[in-house]
Amino acid sequence: MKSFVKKANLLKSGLVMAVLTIVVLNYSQANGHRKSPSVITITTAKADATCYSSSSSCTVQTGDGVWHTVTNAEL
Amino acid sequence: MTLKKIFAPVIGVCILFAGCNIFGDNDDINPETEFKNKQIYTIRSEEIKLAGDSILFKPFDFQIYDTLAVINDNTGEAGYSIINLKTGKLLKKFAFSGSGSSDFDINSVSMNASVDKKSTFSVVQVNSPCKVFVYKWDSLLTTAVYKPNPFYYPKHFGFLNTFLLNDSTLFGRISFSKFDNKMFGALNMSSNKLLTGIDAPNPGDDTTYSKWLKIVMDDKVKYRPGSAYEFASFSYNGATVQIFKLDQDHNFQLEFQKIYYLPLFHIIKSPNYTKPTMDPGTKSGFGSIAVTKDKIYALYNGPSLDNERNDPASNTILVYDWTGKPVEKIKLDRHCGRIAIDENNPGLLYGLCGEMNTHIVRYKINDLHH
Repeated sequence: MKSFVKKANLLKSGLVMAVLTIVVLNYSQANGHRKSPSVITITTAKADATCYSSSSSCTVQTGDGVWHTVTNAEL
Repeated sequence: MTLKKIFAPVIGVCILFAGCNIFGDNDDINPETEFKNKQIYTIRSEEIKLAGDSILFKPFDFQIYDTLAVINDNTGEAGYSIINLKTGKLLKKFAFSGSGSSDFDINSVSMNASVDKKSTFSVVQVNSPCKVFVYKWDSLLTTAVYKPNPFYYPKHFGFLNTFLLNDSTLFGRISFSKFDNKMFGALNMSSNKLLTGIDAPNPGDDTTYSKWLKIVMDDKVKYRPGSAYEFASFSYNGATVQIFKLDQDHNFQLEFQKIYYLPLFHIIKSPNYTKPTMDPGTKSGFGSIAVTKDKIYALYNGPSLDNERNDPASNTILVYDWTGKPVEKIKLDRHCGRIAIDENNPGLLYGLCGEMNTHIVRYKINDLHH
């Protein structure tokens, strides 16, 4: 009987920890908590020189290793 | 004993969370929270009436010199238009489009006054072939067709803007150089030697992020009038502030740095191109800055998200001193995309406002405290 109670308590502890971990992780992600941003590299077969929006300048590196920058009105 | 068994897992979980710092501090700070206890001034604009020949199309940036507004407006013909603020009339265009050595790719130009010699200014063509022109104000205003000769700088780096420090030194924000995380460079125009400095403001150790960060920040850079090479840089992608000095030997010294939040981006890699693309979750920061010898006026656009930034205009100006301390907040009566102050007349703040920033307005800021 004692052994059963011990096992049940351990199981309870594990469950509490798991549930709390999931809750807090979800809360953290939903609220955009980031310690430091990271950059993800996306590899594609094809990409053009168009950069990103909402910026005054844009710098890209072509396959030959040469850098190119354009500013404002072309974007 | 029972209590211990109940609380043990709870305490364990707390320790786990504390160890992982999972709650963490949200690193994102809205700059406006620093101005919560500061005075707010609401000011009214006075519009400069433009004559028919000086209608603006899609101005990108502008500067004020005495009674002249120099506007980076893509008219299809030239990169810049000079408008007389007293009459509203077009005085002159310069930096003409063309493929000759003295012509410009007008989509790709940036202008700044020289630091030591107020009689000159420089215009850099950011796109290849990278070249810089030093203009003399007198010659520009008195010669019918004035096209100074270009200075081609080395191809292993790119300037996004330039400030001529003296006859032989060109300082500016660099877009790339050895693909490191250095933000600024001083080029000796005789020896072509480039000294770089000021790390991109990244607290982490993700080196790939750091190297691309300087490329995507889109920061606005201004020189402190009357100083010995002191500069302020405020980013539009993310919200970061850097204030730094350059000594006589062109060593960089960071004096103040504040990271409110950083931009989020991804790198797209293909056999043809490697390029950054902004994450829709990126928040905007400062769209434009104007400076006097005592204060930095920062037009704060944030924290709207990247996909909401079709109209990067704002009516909020956060005013800092040159140590980075918040001073006061200004509310404009209209939304503006760019602001400027003539260093010789710091009592007036100008704005490019309204639809497509095609209206020039003026605000009196010298009597705010009365």
